[in-house]
Amino acid sequence: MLRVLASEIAASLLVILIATALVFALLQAMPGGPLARLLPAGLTVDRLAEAEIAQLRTAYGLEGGAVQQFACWWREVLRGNLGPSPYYPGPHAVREVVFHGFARTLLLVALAVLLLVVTTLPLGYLLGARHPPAWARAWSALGTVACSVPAFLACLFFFYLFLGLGLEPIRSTVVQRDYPPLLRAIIVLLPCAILASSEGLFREAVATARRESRALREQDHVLAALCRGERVTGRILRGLALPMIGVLEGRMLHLLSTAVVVERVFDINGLGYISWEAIGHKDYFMILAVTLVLAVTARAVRCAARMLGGLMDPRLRRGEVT
Amino acid sequence: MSRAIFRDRRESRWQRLRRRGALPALLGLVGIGCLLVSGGTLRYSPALYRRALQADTARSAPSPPGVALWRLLTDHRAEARQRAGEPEGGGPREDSELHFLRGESRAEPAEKPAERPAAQPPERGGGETAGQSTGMPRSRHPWGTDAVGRDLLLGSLLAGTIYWGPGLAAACLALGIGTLLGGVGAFARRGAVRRVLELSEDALGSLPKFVAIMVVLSVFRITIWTIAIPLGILTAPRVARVVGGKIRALKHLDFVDSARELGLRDAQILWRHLLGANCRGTLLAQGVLVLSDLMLFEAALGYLGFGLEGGARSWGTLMAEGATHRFLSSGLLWPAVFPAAVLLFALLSLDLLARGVERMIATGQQT
Repeated sequence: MLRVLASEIAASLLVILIATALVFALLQAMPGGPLARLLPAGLTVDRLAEAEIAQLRTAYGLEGGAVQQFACWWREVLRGNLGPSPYYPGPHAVREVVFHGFARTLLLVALAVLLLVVTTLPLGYLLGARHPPAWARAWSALGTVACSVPAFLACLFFFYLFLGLGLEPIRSTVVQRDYPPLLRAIIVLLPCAILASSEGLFREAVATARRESRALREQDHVLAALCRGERVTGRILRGLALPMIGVLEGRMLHLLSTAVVVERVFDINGLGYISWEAIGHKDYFMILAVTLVLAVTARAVRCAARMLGGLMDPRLRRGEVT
Repeated sequence: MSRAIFRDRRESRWQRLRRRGALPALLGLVGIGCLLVSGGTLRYSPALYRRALQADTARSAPSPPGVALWRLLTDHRAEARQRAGEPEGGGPREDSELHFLRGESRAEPAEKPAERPAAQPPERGGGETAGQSTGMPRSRHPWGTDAVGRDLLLGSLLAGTIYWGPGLAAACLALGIGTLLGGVGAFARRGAVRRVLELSEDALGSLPKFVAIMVVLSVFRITIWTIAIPLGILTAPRVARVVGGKIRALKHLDFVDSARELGLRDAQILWRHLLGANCRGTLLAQGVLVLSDLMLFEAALGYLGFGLEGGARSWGTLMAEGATHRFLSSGLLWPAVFPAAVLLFALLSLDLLARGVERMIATGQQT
């Protein structure tokens, strides 16, 4: 188990290094180079003296070639400094802004995952039965169609629907106080629901749960329990946990990425919103920091899923299955 | 005799298509074909082409729809205040804050607005132009006209034609890189090769698509090609994952050992027996899904303010133009709704097509 964990961590470090290097290489191609993007508004590199440019390059860690700059950025990252930003005050502005936004995005994604699990596990369980109830089939079909609606269209639709009904959707993290609790809960959960159903995630989760539920119902231990007259719901739901972790692990980066759209519509100042803003402003260190945080999160979720899988299934722990 | 056999095969395929639920996919395919053919025909009709391209070059790009929606909400609040008889400059209603989301106590002030720059669309998005005129749907223009009087039906059809070439290129890139990373990675017997390919797949898969594509678009000019090429590369890990899973499941089967015993090389087994014979449907389905992703990303990026430059017409730009504050505040929904409906129809059709084709080929292989 520890060997698997060590190997995962080593691979993750390498993967994060490559992923950030790819984005770094792209940012080097920005018009004017990184230094031009870090200067205050109205100031250009042409209007600066050589000595001033050299001083600024030293201050921002942009000396030498691209490789040296990348190494310098990583050295600062390991010291806990993600760099300055021309749009936010303070020497550690990027770190503060990114981690503040990350907490919100994580909460949004966590609520989306919770919604997904709460809805898809029972649905998959019911659909895996020999005679699934008609309402479960209808719900699944409706979900399949709803999943084909892009996240931004769903956001626009609900936003306009809310306005038409005279309601205000959630903005940033604020909802109207005078709404009843149920309506407030719906308003809060709406962005999470859109995120959870975006780009076929709901459909994939239901299909996986249904397939695994069918397979589990034919396994010996379940059949034996049925023969003994025991209830098998708990066994099947426990058996569905591992495939669901696999689905969520595979789509975690997708969820974090799609959060850009949802956060943009509902004005939630999360990592997606920050990345959209940073790219619009060509905020050099902010873009790198966002990429780093997203890559680290995706790999951390993968490591956690592997470990959890190993704990839940001894065959995975022993490496008998992948 | 041979004709009878041929008819039997044809009938069984047709029955298979119906039985396996791929019929909606076929209908979707026909719909997309109609869209393509009609769009292409109209494109080369000189009169319609001239009418469709009455582009007002001086017109700036519309602001992203999100901005328009929040402006609409502000208007909504102002109207409500007016109805309630409150003064125009009255302060906003007190909102209850979700402190567990903010991570702040109620007594503390909310985060300082000065710390964050005001929400601005990216540089390439401009403001709305005054003096826009929009025609209502009528017999001459069944879907109405856009801001400068162009027929929206024709615009939507023409917009659909820009995706095919770049979509094909993106699909080729995704399938090529994905097959190399997933197929070869799963089948390779040498640990080093497998490890390198797995690491490459993971590295590409660790890049968030939206962010990476937006970074590319901030460096290069925004065209459908600059969206399609990075999208193809970034979709490769998904293809690799699917193909790799299938190859891993197949590579221990007897027919692979038999092929090795017969003297076939690994490359031949992989190409001919695993990818060609057993993953054909999956690859085809993934290719179709890449095209669907391209439409989706283009539209979503248009929504985020990264619309196509140079007056290119796409479903994303049409929606962005239609969902401006001026239209929405007047209750004019069709300029945004019709392109959105066409996009939705195309996405649904491609999705059904991908699933149907994959099932049909898989069933054909089993029988």
